[in-house]
Amino acid sequence: MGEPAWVAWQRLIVILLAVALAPTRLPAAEMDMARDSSLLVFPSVQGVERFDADRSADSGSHGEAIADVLYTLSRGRLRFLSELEFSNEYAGIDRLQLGWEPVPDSYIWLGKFHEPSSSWNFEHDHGHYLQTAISTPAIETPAGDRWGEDAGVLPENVTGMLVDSTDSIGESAAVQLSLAVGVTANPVQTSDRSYWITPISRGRHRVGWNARLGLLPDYTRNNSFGLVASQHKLDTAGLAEEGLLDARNVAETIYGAYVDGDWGAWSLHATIYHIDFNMRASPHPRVENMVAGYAQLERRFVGRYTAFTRFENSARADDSDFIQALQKRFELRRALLGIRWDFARHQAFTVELARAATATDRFSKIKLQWSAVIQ
Amino acid sequence: MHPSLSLSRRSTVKRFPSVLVIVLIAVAASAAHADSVVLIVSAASPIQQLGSVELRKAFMGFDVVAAGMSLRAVRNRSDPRLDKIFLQNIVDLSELVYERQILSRKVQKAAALPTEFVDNSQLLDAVARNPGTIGYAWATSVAKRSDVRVLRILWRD
Repeated sequence: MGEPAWVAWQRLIVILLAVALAPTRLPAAEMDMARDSSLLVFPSVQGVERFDADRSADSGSHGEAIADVLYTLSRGRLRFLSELEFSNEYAGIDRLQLGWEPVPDSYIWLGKFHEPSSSWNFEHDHGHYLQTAISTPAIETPAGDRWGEDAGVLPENVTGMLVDSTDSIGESAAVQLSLAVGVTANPVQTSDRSYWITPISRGRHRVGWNARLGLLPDYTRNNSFGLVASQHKLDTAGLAEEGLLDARNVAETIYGAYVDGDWGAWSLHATIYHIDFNMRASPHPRVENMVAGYAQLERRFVGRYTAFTRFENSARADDSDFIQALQKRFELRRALLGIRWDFARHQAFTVELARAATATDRFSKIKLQWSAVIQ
Repeated sequence: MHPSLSLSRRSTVKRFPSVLVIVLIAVAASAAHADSVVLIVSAASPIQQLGSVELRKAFMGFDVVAAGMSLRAVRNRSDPRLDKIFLQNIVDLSELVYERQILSRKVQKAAALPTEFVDNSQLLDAVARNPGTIGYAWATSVAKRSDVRVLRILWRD
């Protein structure tokens, strides 16, 4: 099947933007105290093989080359940040933010940014090299990610305003508060077999809110634990018109808690969400809910190796009409283990084995990935 | 005298100077390594002191202001041993975790990361030219420079 023309255009625009930004980077040896710019490229190549009894057209082998191109510029108190992602299958602008830092470590951002209430995406979704495991937890997987993953149900990005402030407590601890208002994309049908959320979608967009409150025991490290919450009103008229959902509006409300950090040779990333789907404009208005969580534990050894394991579970997701309409292949449970080898500076090779279950199927996956960062 | 005994004694006498040379080289090498790692700024810098927390913050990509100046840290990668001392004594992280954390900070906040130098002389030149720059180097390499000032000793052999 040939790719749609808009995909080719998107990819061309993203590549041209990346090329246009490249010469603006300052050479490393040139030091300008008032201005700093960087161009980081996160390339990765990955392959997956899926094993299950019922091999549909969607399963089997799959390979993809991806590049995340990130450009940053700081000039005095102003910040600019753009993240472009393109692969042999899709292209898009992941983030485009213009910020102001009125006081150290407090920012006001305008533009498109990762949703603060999505614990994984806010912290780790910035190029595959920065993420130890190859896969993203099913609940956090961007619905637009066609990389052998089934779509998640949390919006990945918000377009609007984000206030992100970190205030120190005592000598080393700090509290971080992120508050955002803005719109997110609506779920729309894009092919015969899958649904995902496009950056700019059809339908009505209503302003939602997002919040994240984190406690950082050591300010200079990334370790934190805290609470997240958000509410977005999604226009699901497209799904209703296709006869997949009886509600034309869904208010998605999320409450959660997370812990994230590195302790010596160990790292832990764990999150639990309670999600309500308030089905409105329906002959049967109702509230569906689910509880989803995951915990990923990592252990580094011999300097360059990292072993990791992750368990994911989503309770009551198989009873949710909204999730079934959005993604029939949503992975309710997944257990995985893997190993990453940082064989050279800024280059890694990762192997991951997973066992997953959807509402109707169980299968295993093996994934291989090379990832890097070029500065 | 038995010829073989005489030969053995002669070879011991001959071997003595070579052992001495080896010992002297070992002592000299040990003395050469008995160096210190020092925190440096430009001789023209108004910065007089910098605490450990502030130092760590600067190398983790945080905005740090000292003596009214915004600091810029430079990482000295001219010597693997020096880099190991930096990771253990200044940022207290393994190389993998340190690099992941500063890259994360860059991609999340557009933070300025420490500039890296693989040539020690170029690093000293950069520190000397920019009063807001802090760096670290072996004390012996800094002793020859009048345009660079030592703030304090970070590590001693």
